[in-house]
Amino acid sequence: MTTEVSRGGSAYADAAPQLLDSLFYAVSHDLRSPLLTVSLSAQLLEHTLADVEVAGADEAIGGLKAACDDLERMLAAMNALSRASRRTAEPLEVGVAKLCPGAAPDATVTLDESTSEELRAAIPDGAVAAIEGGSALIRWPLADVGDIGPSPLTALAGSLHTYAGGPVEALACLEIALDRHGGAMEVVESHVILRLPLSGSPS
Amino acid sequence: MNRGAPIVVVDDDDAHRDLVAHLLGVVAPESSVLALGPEDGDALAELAPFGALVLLDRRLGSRDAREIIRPLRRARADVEVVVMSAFVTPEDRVICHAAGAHSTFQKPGDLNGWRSVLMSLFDDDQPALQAA
Repeated sequence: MTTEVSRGGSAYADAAPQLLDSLFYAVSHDLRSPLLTVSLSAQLLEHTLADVEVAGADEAIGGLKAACDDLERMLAAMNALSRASRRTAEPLEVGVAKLCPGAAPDATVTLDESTSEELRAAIPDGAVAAIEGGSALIRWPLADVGDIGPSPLTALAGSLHTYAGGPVEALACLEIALDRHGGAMEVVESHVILRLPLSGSPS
Repeated sequence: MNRGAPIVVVDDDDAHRDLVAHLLGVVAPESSVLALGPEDGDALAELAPFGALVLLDRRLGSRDAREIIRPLRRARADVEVVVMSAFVTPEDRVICHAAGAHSTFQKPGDLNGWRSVLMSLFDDDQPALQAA
């Protein structure tokens, strides 16, 4: 009996990450259809009542549209996170200097093309790169998001409403993508610090 | 596709399908609109009016749109299929195009979005729409 229970528990533990990922995708994807129905209904009501004076109609329709915009923003964030965790593209060697000009010219890291492009877009002018042990460290100041703690992903998961659609969402997606390549992201004293294992280094 | 072409909406979300059918009557009043459910997927070749624009949901229940597009396009070269999805990925576009879809777009959440999509599809001078 104990063995049967243990086997079942182990199977669930093995399957749980995939199940959670599938659920995550389903939630972000399947919820959008009824959300669109509510949003479109509000728009049609607004269109239909355009020439009719109905007390409270503007407030009600405005409330529906604002709520739909909010839901749309949060669902888009969940979908972006789900897609970041599902990437399966072929990894390529990328020069660290291509991500952060001024970095050691010979240093390379291994990333898929999408992550590489997103990093190039995210890393601002003025970011600083260094080689430490077997990793490239890239660091830049993070402004205008307040205290989000060390992990953008944890911050986003803690308050989708606050952070969806903004810079923290983009960083959270990068945090997931970097983790898949053995890298890491941390926010320390209002600075983003990326750690990327150099190509050929043990992760 | 010509402005005024009949439109067929195929979606397994009943409320969304019926609302979109009504909305299409507002943004494309010159087109007739037929709303069908997933149970009609295999009968589209018989049901779609000549020269129709078929707006087909990416997934109808457990069925992938590809299973419906391929036989429909083989049977009805006059019909154009445009795939709609809550969220569109680059992979979706490649897959649906390979199956014979004209284009794939993300379902718009507002009237102007639907106007844009339809005007792009009906404007013969515009390139094929890839996303809303």
